[in-house]
Amino acid sequence: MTSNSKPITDAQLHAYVDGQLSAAQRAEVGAFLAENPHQARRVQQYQMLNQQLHGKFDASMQEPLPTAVLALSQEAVPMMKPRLWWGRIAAAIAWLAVGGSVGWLLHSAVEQPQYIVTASAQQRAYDAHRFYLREGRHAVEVPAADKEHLMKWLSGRLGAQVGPADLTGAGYQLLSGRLLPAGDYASGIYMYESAQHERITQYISTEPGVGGVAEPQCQARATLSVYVWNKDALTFVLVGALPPEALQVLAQQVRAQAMRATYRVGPQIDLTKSGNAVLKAHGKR
Amino acid sequence: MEHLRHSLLEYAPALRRYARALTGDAARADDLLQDCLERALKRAHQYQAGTNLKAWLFTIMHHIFVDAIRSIKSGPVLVDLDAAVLDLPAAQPNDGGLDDLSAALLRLPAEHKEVVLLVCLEGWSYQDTARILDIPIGTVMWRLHRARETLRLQIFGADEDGGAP
Repeated sequence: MTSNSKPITDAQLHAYVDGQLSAAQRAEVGAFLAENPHQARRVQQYQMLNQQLHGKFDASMQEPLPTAVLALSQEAVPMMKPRLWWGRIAAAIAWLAVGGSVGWLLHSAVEQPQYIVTASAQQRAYDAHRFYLREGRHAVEVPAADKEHLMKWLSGRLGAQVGPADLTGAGYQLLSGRLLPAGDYASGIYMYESAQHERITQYISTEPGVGGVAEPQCQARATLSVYVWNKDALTFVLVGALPPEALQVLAQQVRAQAMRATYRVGPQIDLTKSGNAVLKAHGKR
Repeated sequence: MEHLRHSLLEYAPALRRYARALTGDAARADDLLQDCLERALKRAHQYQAGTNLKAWLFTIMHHIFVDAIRSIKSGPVLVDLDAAVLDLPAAQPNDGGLDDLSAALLRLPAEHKEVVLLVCLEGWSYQDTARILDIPIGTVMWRLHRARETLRLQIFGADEDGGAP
């Protein structure tokens, strides 16, 4: 250290790098560094380190926020995220206790005299969507690449032949499928994803007593829309972070494709005709 | 409350960047972000109007992060693989799958990593960092020095002239 400058502490060097010095202090440290190349090099490396940190992590600020986070900023009731399935179920029970008061029916209630509470199926679909939406890379139980296997497997477990819908026209590709419990019954989801990584979930439940909507219904809940309809013994729910009208368009596509499907008893799945969206249910057993 | 909800979105990107650097894992970071914002909403009544909201959110994230590490350390033998990412042991070798900076960050003790990221990445003053972490400013300076030196030596290598001024 030369006699021309005052001794400088490590703390001052850090403060110099971090821009936390007054102009006078800054000049002092600058003078010291000019005479101490070794310390100057250390300071330069600290500065490079800061740049590397920004270079590596700043990009994450430009990424779209997770839908679940966006939903938080608008939800009326913040819900803690249960970490385990039993916690999830507890939350579902709590939601059920709240009943249909959450959200609002977009379709006229007057036209729905036969409306039977479908909170269960809708709630399960809603929960499943929210739950797996945040599982960025782990949303997949069976990837879309294994579509054939996925359909056979899910259909087998559901006891009804239900394939994913073809929503490519609407910009959504099949992402994955998953088997889920619905009480003592099986349910499943197909998850679709757009190029912008927006996901929608198609939920199919075999659980009796949860369906029974006279006609398809759409509810808006927080930032998500939930669309439910029945087909024979199955309850279908579509969930996505879309305006209800937009989700309804997608739901109508799924329904229309399912309508075209031929029903057949037995395990064979025929996806070669009329697009690849198929709903083929067994007879009621 | 509405102001708070709006501000969450405003500060979420910075919180996310911090979480990403802290955990070294995008999915884990988003969990941390969500937990943080959920807790902030739950405890909105504890926020004192007029104080630094962004710092309050970073404090909450710090608490959740520390709790997560504590639960791993004191937890049962069953280790949550995702959570384990939060706190890899200090001697973890770089298996080649990570760049130097990521590997060095993973090796850094959590309390040092927090300081270096709050200061160097998030641009908090030493005073604010001390408040966020609830430690004396002298501790901030000491941890910052240790963390920076560790990272510097791992990334740029040892000084060829022995390190003495």
